[in-house]
Amino acid sequence: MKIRSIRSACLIMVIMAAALAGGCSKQVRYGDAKAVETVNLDFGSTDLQLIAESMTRSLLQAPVVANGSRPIVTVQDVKNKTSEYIDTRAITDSIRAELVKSGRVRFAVDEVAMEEQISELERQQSEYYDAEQTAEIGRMVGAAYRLQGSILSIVKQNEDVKDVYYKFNLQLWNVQNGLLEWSDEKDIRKTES
Amino acid sequence: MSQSIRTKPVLILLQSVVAVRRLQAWLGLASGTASSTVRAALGLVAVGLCVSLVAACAVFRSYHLELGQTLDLVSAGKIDAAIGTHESHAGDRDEKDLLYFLEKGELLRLAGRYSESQQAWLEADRRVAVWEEQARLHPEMLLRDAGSLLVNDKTRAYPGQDFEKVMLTTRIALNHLALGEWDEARVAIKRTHEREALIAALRAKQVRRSEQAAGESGYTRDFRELNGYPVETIDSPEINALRNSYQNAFSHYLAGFLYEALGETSLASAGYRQAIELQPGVALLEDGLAGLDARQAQRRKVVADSTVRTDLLVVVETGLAPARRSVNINLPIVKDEEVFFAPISFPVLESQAGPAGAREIVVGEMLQAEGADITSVDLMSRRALKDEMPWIVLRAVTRATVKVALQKAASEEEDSRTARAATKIGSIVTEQADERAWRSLPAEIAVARVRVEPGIHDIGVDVGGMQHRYRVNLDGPFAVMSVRQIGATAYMSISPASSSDATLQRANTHGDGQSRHRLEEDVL
Repeated sequence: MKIRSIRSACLIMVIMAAALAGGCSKQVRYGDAKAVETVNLDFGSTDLQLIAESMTRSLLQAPVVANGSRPIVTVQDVKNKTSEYIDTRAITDSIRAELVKSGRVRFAVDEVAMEEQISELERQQSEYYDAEQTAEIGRMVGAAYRLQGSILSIVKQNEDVKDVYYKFNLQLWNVQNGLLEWSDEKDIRKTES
Repeated sequence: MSQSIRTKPVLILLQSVVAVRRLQAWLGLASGTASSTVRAALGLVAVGLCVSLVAACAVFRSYHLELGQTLDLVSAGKIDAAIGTHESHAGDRDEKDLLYFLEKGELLRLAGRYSESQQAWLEADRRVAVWEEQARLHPEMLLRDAGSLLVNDKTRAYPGQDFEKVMLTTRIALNHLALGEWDEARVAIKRTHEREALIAALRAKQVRRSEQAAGESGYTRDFRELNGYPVETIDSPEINALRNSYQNAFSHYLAGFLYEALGETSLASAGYRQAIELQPGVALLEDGLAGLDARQAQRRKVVADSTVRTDLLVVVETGLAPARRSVNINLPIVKDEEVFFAPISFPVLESQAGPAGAREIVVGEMLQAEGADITSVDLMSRRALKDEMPWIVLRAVTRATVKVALQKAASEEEDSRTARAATKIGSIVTEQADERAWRSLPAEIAVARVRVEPGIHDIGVDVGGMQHRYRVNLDGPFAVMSVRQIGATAYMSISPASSSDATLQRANTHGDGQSRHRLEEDVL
């Protein structure tokens, strides 16, 4: 009797192990890149898209852009004041791409790309290039406006609930006179229970 | 033992089955005269035996002793011999486990064989990735293991401690830096914090499950109730002050430094901030964040200026991660005038810390900085054991219960005195705590940061009274120098900002220490 029950237990264990092992196989499929992502509370693709769309829409309505003057803008840092590893350049890259596509804003080389820009300019001064078609040093255009901002988060949690609040702020400053021409914020709240 | 370790698992399984059959025949059980209870007991012992033998004799291997020999050679500066010893212990087993690759990668890193070290660690990383995938899909699988419940914890495939998994990608990043591969180091660092996040989520789930299970069963597993266990080794204010066992300030500070070097300030600030949160009150860490904008602004001003000063991060690592040693307790239980044994084993940690005292960085003749202790693998290891103890206790008690039940079953059969004795002896000798751990990790990690003019410098690193001097040629805005003190020997590597110009030279060593570094000949 005891042997039978032990055998039964062993059989059940084997079946369970096989079932679990079978369960390990997983499918890979493509998804909608714009679909809402709620895997966890960390900053994710949906947050990035929400912020970029909101900021682009708002900036395109700002008088300095809407007047059709095609202002020249440079992108500066968006400070990450959270404890999360958020690549804020991905956010500003998305905003810049949308603004460029709109054709209403032009962008000057930013600080991050400056090194490559200088390197390319210097490279073209070599004797191997046609002097008439070579980019001249000293002809770069400075930006009239600079875009900068910050993102912060407030995290609160207890045993049952975790709440994360993100505040993204973006500002457009006039380089010449130091005036703040436009500013907007996007708030995101996510709760896990 | 070494021969049986090298035998293929299938062959071992067949041999075990034959051995158990012979034992049954010798005891007269095969004839059907013996009771079903004893046969059931022997069946269970056989299962345990097979499981343990298939696990390549893990039951009886003492990792503590094996790796001790290797690390003694490392302490003596005989790194090539240490690598040879490590390989000989692994033998020609087809299945090299995670721990083998973790230790091998560290030994090769110490020897300055960074590319080979990367290969070993990437192999280890693949195994951790499999664990991650399983843990993500079926977290409950991590807690179940038939061999562990029947024989001992060493029959479990070594999954690696959480802090070891985090340290693995951090050390892969250090190797990339030593090879001058800053972009590849970024990939490894990014994986470090992604892995940390996954572990955090998994452990949160596990804690919820265990609390639920404890609530349902009414059983609380507190290791503090274990008589004779040195509770203070895993339960102290310093250990309890750690947020958890797997996050460490060094990994995050290195992330901050690396992102800063790559001009990604939003990520750099997160790295520095996390380091501060994990190790509050350390001025060096606070300066990392507070001075980030100013340093970046300064660098932008001199973007086309080749005379930019080098921001040198000096990492001073000392000692070895604590060893786990098995402590066995055989509780005698007297019933019906017969003594049964409830064998219980627990791992106890033995410190392998390096020299105490200041870590000072001297450039030329001037004291430039004092190293700040920011990560203690020793404490993390203790915290990991403390967090793991409820499960170790649960498994140990379950095993002891099964083993006592087997002994009782054997004793109830009058004609099986030999089986009775064999069951008791088998119960006791198979009981050993899991001694496995990534031992070649450093016990303590300190960092210092200095800004120096580009060019050749004599850099002195004073580790608790042992002074080492290295001549290095710094060129570029960022560099990472790593000094590892194990015993009387120091191992050094330096990461160039631009690999083509990086050179270094051993100048001399004072005190009792010896120095090794990646170049055998002077190149300046």
